[in-house]
Amino acid sequence: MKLNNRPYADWHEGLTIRGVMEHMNFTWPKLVVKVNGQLIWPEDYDKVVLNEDDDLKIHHLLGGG
Amino acid sequence: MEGRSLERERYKRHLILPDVGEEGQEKLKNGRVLVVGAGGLGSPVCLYLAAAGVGTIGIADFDRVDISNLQRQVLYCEKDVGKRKAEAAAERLRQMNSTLKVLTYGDGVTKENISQIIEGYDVIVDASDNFRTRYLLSDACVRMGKPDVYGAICEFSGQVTVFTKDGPCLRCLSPDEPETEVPEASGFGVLGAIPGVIGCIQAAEVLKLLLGTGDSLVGRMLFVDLKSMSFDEMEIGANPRCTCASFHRLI
Repeated sequence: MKLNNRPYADWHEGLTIRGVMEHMNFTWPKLVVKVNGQLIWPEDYDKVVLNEDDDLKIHHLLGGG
Repeated sequence: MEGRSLERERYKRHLILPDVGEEGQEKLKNGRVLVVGAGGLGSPVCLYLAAAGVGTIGIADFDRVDISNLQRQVLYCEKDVGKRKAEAAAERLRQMNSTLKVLTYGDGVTKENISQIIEGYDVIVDASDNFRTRYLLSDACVRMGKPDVYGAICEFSGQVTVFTKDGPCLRCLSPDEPETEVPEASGFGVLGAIPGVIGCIQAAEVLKLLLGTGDSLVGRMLFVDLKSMSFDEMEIGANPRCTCASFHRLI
């Protein structure tokens, strides 16, 4: 599995997006998340189970100006 | 020098650009752009639009210039500290280019005035510093079919995209505005140059939209990180579950 274009070494069966966020310490409250190019909304972070060959992207959504 | 020939001289470097030329310069002159937020991002946006000869520029900001703004908000000088930003910005733009029409909205944008304000503009620039304003703008732009040139920054990083009625909007990316600002508008550090980089990209997107040239950032979000000096982009699409989906013609 890839996270932000880099290999993600800690993939395991049943891993969810929330699991990656907790493991990688993503604490920013506004995130833009895509799995294999598809946008995932926050309500689905717990539900989406990642496959070994998935391409996960997690970006901070900034608001400052 | 007569008005027309002075204009030709002033915009010479535009006129020789095949994507601009006389016709394009006329489009810029007839262009009406609203810049919401006259801070770090709004500064380069306003300056480059004014220099480029965008004929009507609206500036919406309720705030006053603080000395701590001068580290990055290049519209302002020490003499402006304490002045209303919209007024000080307008004064600077008029000094820079006296041919422009500069309008100010000193109350900023609110739920009550947003539709009326943006109605008169071709392109809206989101250079604000909080998500409440950003969602307000994105929703209004989708509803009224106006392009929303979104830029945002934090520390060494920034991002830019263009939301349109037919493409994704802010709610497609992240459906709800946060209950609290993230982080509070004035509560994070900013490398002075990052709003410069992001604001210039926003200005370029506005000019391209007015000219009808090039590939815009519609459907793409550009991520800039000055610490690692990297640029990355992500494709984004309109979300069928978005509350704006009917406006995006998805349902």
